[in-house]
Amino acid sequence: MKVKIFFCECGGNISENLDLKALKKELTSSGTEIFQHPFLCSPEGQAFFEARILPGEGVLVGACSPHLHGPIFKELSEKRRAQAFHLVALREEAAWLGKKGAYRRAMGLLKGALRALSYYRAPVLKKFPVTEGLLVIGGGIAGLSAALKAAEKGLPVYLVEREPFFGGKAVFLDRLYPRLECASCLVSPRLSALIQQENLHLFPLTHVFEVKGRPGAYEVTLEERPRYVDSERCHGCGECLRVCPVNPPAITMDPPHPVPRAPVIHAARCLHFRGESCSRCKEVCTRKAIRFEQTPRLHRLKVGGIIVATGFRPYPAEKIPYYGYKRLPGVITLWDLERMFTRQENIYGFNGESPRRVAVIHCVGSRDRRHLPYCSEICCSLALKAGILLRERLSAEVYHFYLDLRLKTPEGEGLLRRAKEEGIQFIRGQVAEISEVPLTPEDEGRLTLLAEDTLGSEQRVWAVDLVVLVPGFVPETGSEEMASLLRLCPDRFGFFSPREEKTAPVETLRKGIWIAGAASGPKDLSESVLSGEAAALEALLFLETPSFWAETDWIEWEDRRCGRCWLCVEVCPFKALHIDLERLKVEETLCCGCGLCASACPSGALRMKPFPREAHLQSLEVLFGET
Amino acid sequence: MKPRIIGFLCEWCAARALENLAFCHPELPVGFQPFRINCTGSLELEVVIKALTEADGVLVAGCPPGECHFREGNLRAGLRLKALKRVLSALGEDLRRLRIIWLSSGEGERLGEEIHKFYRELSLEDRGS
Amino acid sequence: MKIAVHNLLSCGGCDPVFFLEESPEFFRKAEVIFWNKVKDETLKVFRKIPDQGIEIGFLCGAVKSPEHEEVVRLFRRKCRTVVAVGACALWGGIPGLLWIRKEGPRPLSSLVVPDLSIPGCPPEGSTWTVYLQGLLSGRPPGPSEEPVCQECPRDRHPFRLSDFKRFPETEPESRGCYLSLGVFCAGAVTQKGCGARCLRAGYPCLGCYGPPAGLTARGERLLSAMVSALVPQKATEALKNWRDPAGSLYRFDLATHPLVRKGKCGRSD
Repeated sequence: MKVKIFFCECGGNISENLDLKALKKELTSSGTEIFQHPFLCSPEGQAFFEARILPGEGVLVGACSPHLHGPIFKELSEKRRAQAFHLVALREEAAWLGKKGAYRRAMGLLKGALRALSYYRAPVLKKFPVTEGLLVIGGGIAGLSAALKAAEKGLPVYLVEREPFFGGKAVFLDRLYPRLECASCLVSPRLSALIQQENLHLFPLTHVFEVKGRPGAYEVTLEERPRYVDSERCHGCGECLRVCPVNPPAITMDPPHPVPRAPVIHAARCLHFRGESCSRCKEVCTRKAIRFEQTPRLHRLKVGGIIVATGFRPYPAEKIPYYGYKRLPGVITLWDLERMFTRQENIYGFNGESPRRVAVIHCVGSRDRRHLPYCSEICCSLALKAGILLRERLSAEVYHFYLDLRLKTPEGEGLLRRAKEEGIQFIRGQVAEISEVPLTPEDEGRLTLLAEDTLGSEQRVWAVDLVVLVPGFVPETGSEEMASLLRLCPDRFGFFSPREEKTAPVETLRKGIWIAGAASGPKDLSESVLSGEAAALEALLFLETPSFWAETDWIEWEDRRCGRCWLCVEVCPFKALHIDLERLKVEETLCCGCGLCASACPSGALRMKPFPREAHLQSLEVLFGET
Repeated sequence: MKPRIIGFLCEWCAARALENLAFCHPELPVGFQPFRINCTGSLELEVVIKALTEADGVLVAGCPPGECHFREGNLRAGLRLKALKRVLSALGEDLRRLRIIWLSSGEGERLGEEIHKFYRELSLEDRGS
Repeated sequence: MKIAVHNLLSCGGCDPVFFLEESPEFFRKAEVIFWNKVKDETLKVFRKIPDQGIEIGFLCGAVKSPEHEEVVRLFRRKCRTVVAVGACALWGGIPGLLWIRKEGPRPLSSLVVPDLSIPGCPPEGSTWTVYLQGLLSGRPPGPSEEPVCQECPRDRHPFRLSDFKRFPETEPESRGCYLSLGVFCAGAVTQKGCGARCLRAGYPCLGCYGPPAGLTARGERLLSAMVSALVPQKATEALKNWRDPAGSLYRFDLATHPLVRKGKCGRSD
């Protein structure tokens, strides 16, 4: 195979740091044709590039990082039916790493790549049909936004929610930052829309049991737990809620705007399920909607794609013992507070009375190596909002303890000003301890809060009635199982990694699976909606085409070399390999070409494309042989 | 032989870290040769051995634990290289010649420091060209 | 047909004397010029033979001493065909493990290129026959690409490991692939040809037939496979408890390991 080399000068970035002339001279002597262009990525440069490639040739580009223009050059060389393509980052890996070593490094890269090219075997482009259904996992605001948009466009959508009601965390927010609008007024129309969409199928109390198949044709099994209430018959009058003798009630309909509008019976608490003869809810129901006899149901679906919107949860504050959460009365979390607000419950302090002085503690667990070594970004605004509500509704003195205030949106600053004008105090520093030992005898019945005031450079002590902890966020429980079910890649904190954080934020490394909302990192309501709808758009683009093309055939299996230990089947992180009558079969659309199987294969029966191990070994050989 | 370090850099983290570093135009040791790989999990031990035979030092840089683009490539690579180190020590090989680091794409400066440090530790700089 | 036989650093287990029954015709017709175990000839006699004066020379064992080197070079000169017999001659064999102490024997191939290499420690009778007949008919066979596993009778399924085991620690009645039991069975990195004799007798493959054609770094490959099978939570413990890494991976071919050849390893203590 004849190989042509293309050098990009990158407007001097490469040519001024690297003696291209000398490189050319040395490489041409081995019979290779070399072309050079000041800006290979420019339209003119691309035309220059394209015009010089003949079918069947190999192409080696020496330019900038493959992440930048690599795909363009690859596409052009495929268009010209080049037989092999390789790109080396002459700019980042040679020209810019120091003039002294530039030539040597460049030579190493180029000679290595030239040698590797002789082992190049192109993956195969194949066409796969697509089923049009969409599964959305998670009925929070992100998931339902995605589901609504996709359904609106006419796709059959299956929305799965683990909890009895849709809406996720948003339905338990009282007011929204930064304009303090009523949250349920904004969220409930979207929830109502769920029921109106005909091609949107709702699965509350349901979890994903199994996912099989491939992008464009997944076979999903859902398991729906019994509600013990027929939500078709029930019209949500709530009579049953009032007659339940158990405390807390065994039949509930918690959210202010429940969807579906039918209560749920918690079998663990319900007297009927504990062997007693109670059936008061059933007796009082005029619609005959109570169904004690319900059992779990399996649903089998065929969908073309999956949106994962499993969300986040606040970090469990009880894991930080010195805050006293779940130990001291009067220490609550922001989410407890929001729930009390939405249910219009009375709020009590440490001594059981309406609190006069409240501490709002930011960054609970956040930016702390022992807990969450990151900032969750949205909690400051939640905390600020809660402080203002406490001030305005309870006329309490409010103290914020913060590390850094990060207020998003232009209105955020205005809200901070409003808080300060209302007399809310902001203390920059970490709270060290909260204790029930009163500060002075007069403070009997109050909590003592010890904190550092880093602006005043001192330790200070406060007596307070109520402490509101504002924890950072972690992935929702079950995310790990979801990751292994769908073979997604979590980041080191357990959030799902997108394909490209900046430029492909809702795509995953797996075709046909997208992420929405806080499953990929803490997000506020608007960002969740945004990413939900973005995911819906990606899903629509994929599902509305009857088929897709994908590079496949990353693995070459040599029957006669194989010892049938089948370790490859086990190690594949994407479950792309299986055994079929003593032969290895690769599920083409699941294989990502990561190469873990080939590097685990003892007998060398597996080799990767485009560059098998020989290419690497030989590159190393020339690297050391020549320079 | 001129002192050489071969750096196997994972496409998704270390290679990008090097790119980020490159934007600052650092002066990296002359004998440092980057070698891009798809994932540390795809790096065959044979290739590492080959590099060890030819180079003075071998650096393998992959994604931090739990952050692999291919779910568990870095985890497997970590275990394999750990096991390889056991073998190398049984063979009486100088273990300092094989260095494994985990870093994310943003840690370009750290990558640079690690390369320099590796050089110093192998005491190659005095022999260097 | 004039033949010569010599054992270098060798236990003598692959001396052609053990194959008399396999090739009675061949040995009956052969005129033995030199057989350091049969005839008590000295090297002096051998040196006097004209170059290429011997049809086939069989060499067993690894090369350790200057005398060995001289014999090997003499064989190459005096014999038209040099046949290397057994793992020691081919890859240094068990004595090659001495390399973990910085100095060990080398395979024949480090000095001369043999015309035929008969693998095994020792070679099976059938292997001897196949190779010798091939040689005599002008079509000397090379190594197979297929691993021992293809002749192995044990059951195979995808597996995970929580620990490495040595053969005596396995359940005698288990029928599964030794890799899946945690044993460093070399079957997958060894060329077939022995009929999986050890495995049929219930013993893991030691790898004496050497790598299948085209397979390099077999020790590393086996290691990578075994470690890849480990459950991550148990891996550190398993690696800590792992005994005899060199012996499990390079039992017959440490002398050919690239690091050994480059003189980059070996512990002096």
